[in-house]
Amino acid sequence: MEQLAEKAGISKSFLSEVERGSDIGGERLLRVANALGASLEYLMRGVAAEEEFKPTSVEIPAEVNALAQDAGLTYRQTLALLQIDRSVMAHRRDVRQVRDKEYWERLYEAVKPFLEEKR
Amino acid sequence: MSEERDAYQRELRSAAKRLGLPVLGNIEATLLRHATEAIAALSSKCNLGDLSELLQHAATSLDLEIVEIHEDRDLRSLLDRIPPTKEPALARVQMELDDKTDAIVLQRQNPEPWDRRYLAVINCRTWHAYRRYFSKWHELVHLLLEGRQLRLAFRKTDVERKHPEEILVDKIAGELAFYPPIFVPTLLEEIDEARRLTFAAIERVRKRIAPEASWHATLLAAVRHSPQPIYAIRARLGLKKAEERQTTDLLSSVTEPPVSKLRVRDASANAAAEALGIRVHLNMEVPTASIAAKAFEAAWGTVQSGREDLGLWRTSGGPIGQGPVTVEAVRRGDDLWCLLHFTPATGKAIRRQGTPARARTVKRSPSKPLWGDDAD
Repeated sequence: MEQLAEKAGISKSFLSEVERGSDIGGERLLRVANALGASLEYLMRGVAAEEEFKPTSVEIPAEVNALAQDAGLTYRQTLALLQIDRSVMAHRRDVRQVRDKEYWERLYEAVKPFLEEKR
Repeated sequence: MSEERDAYQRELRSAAKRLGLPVLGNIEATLLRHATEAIAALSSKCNLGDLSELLQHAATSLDLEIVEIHEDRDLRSLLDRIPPTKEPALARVQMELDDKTDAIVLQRQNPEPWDRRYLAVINCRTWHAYRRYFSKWHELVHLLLEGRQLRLAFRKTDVERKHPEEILVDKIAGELAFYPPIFVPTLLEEIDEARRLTFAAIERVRKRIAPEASWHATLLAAVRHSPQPIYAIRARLGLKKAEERQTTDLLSSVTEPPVSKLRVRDASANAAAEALGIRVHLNMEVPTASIAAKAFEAAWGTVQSGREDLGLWRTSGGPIGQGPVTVEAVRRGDDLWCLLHFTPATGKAIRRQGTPARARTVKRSPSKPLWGDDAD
């Protein structure tokens, strides 16, 4: 509690009051979230933020399909590979990366150990 | 060029539609206002010390965790904390955080309830460290412009810096990174103290409220927000276009190779300087008699300043203006950085000579942000 109070720049007694149910206020809540590296939503509601977008259909690119056949990937593993690719929202770099056969092979090699569990 | 402009306009319309904003008039200004208002709403609720704190609060509000990678140890520590067994996309980050990459933003698939859903991994290795403050704002603006309605199925994940969306995000990030309600009062205090905008004043502003920002980005923001008419110029040794062609033309009859001269590579004017109608042309020569040229010959980092006549600064069409100009210049590496301060007398002298005022002073392609680290 003491460490958190110090890191958030608020008093320990105030934190104790919050623990007992006092209103914390927006700015102090932000400071606590910053200090903990935690989600603001969780601190406010005690539950995780809802996922904002869930794809309803999945299209498997031909390159991924070919790779899945060559590497003997199950359907679950193939979907997991696609999900890993899609979870990257932005990748700012000098040159555009083409999603060709080589890209998918490199990605597969990098995440292979973690796909084994999904067999 | 027109293709680039069309693509940029399409991006503006698409971002405005996504956010439910009007797709009429100056859409870029509408988007900038939207992002600024979001930050203003957050800022009004907090007692902020500096711009880094604003950035931190904004990231937290957007459920974004920002991690800086300065060396391999930082990446190992990130992977220890969020192992790829739990979040396999981290294995991809490890694979792709190379020298060509500024940042990778991912949506976590398996976060704990208390974890933030978005993770921005900022490459701060080698020269990327110079851009880190701007990179953080850039990634944050991406989330703002998404309205957090993430287009997972249709988004463009691998983007070049020249992509229209990146140009738009750069422009907005450039404004928010030096959020005027925090930046301008401090800037004006330092200008008052130094009596004009100086390199030392800019550095003091940076240290006081934007310690993470680069020298270059702070310089351009300070020029833009300075109330005094001012130009910031970057020059380095180079050839004229025709001379460059000569050097590659095997049939050229010229035997003596052309000599490189100190030439203007970038020039940014603020609104007050634009109103004077003075135009610093790209690739024009920095006059050898100017204080600026002397600063280039001086030791690295030695600031030279003084007054001279703008009539020294000439193109093939003659001087770019007349009247007094205060010059402050410093050499940093291969670049010369120069501030040209005009006075109302500079403008009057030009008008007396009948030089027509020009509305636009700096030629820029749409791929180049008006300011921000990308001006490098």
